[in-house]
Amino acid sequence: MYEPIVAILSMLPIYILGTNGELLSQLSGVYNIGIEGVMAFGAITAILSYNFVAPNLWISMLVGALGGVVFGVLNSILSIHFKLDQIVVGFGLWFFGIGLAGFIQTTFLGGAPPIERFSAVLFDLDPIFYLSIVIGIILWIIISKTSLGLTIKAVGENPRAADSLGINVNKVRWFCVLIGCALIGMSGAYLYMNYLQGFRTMVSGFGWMCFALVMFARWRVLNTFVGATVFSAIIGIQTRMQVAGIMILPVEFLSVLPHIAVIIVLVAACVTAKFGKSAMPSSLGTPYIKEAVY
Amino acid sequence: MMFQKKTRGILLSLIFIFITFFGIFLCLLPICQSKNLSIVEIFNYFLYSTITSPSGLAQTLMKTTPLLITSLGLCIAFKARVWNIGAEGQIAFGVIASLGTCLFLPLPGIIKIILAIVFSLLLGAAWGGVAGYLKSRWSVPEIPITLMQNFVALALMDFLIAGPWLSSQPGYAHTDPLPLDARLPYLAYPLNSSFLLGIILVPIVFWIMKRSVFGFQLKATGYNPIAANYGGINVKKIIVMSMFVSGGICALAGTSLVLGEFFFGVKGVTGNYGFYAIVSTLIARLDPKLTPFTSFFVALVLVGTNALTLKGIPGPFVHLSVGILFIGAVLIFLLEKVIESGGEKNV
Repeated sequence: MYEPIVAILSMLPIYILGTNGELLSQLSGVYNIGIEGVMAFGAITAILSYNFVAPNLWISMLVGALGGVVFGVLNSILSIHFKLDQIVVGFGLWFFGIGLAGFIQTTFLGGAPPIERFSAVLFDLDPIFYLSIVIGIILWIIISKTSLGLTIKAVGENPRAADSLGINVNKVRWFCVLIGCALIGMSGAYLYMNYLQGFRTMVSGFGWMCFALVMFARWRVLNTFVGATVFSAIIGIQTRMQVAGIMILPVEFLSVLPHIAVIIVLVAACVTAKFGKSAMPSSLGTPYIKEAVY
Repeated sequence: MMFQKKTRGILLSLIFIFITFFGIFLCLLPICQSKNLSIVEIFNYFLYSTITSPSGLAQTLMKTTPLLITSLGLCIAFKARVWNIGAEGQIAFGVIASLGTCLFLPLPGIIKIILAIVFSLLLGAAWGGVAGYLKSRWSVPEIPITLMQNFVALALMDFLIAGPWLSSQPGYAHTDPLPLDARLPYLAYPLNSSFLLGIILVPIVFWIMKRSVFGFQLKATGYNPIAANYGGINVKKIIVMSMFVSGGICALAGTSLVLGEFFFGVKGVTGNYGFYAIVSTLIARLDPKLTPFTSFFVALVLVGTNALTLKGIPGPFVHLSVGILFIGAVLIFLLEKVIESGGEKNV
């Protein structure tokens, strides 16, 4: 019983880091549709740094976060400064990130991922697991207990009112997108270095699972822990069934169980949300224009 | 406004073509240098394999067909600001419907072809309509839903092709080939008459979007759903309808792939056209008139970069050039925005 639980928990950092990064930028009102591309780019910068700069996993994680920030800057310039459609920008970053990362991986690295993993520190779990829990809790404290969190939520809910209080709306959004993309980049680095042990050039779907988890968590940091555990459990059970040869379904359907789970979870989250107060930040997806006349 | 809207559209498309070619060949330069290839030769080969030779041109037009049909479908959904990225799955349903009809129904050829088109439309529409219904009923975000639907539809297609529909002949990893009378005829060898299906769809979709009431409702819903609701448009119904029509048209791309290109079912028959069509729709800026040209351009880049692998350029360069296409599309939106604001400072 002990070993499967460790296997499930060891996937948690991917979801916790990625989901909280996406959650932070959505709280401030910016959809980050390009999450998959940011993850891929974070991963590839991390792998590059491992192979060419220093074979140190901690430095690679840091470089992965910086790679995420590069895409965060692109996203912010296009969708916050120039006020382009956030979804169009997201499509662009998504495919650009995946294409660039896949190209670098196969051309300059010969398709080889680093073989080393983080060694376990406590209860057979690696330090990134504990780090991600700590980051999640820090984010929870910032968002729900401090005035900075209140500012971020105000910008996401009603940027005009926030602006009238002297808050620089676009600055707050820049800050949230950059920090969020750093977390997503770290999550991608961890995913490709430690979990997938390789690279897939087309859509792998982990970024979109994080995207779905944000809605499942109804934009609350603490709920992301629950959602992340549920998703890792589904993926863990699916791989175990595949390895053990338990075929209750044909193999094609078994491998898409996580994707079906995303659909079910999203629909369930939205149906139940109808009965409560809407948790979605009101200005999500709309750029803030100061002189707009309503 | 600097130019008439029409000239501006064409001008922007030309700038886009210039930017992406520039970007692609900028990325090719270091690779050519490291492999001792001449960039001029590479450029000539790129053109030779796509437009300047008749077989290359036919190849490019063949790849244009599914892209064109899918782009037309996406135009309709995108116009209502319903972001349908499930085209890949809808194409898979088109493949399933056409394979099922043409392989197993004991009917004369022409009726089979017509039935394949009708069933693809219906299945694709139903599959797309699910996401539209979920969005309008419970406001479930359509982007993750349609994306996940892709995986499920592709799994279903792979299961059918590798399982119950697998060819009885040993050693085959695909279904039986279609009977000869259920295949669409060739125009000029790789180019099939399924291309004409795409061309016929252009004026139809143009009529739907620009001349019909439904098209106006789509535009109003996409522009401002609240105002559209005040104006008496049933926004929820329009959202479902947009996904319904869009899914149906996208599924026709699957029909064209089966009846006009492959003539059998095999894993990977959908070929990521559902994702590549997003960029050709965005470059056309949701204008169905421009989609034939933009999907031709995207097909040109795909065929050209694929052909370059014969000259020693690594295979994943195709993915990178698709990424460049997408970034170019975003830059075009940026340029259009700057031109529209007429240089006024818009903070």
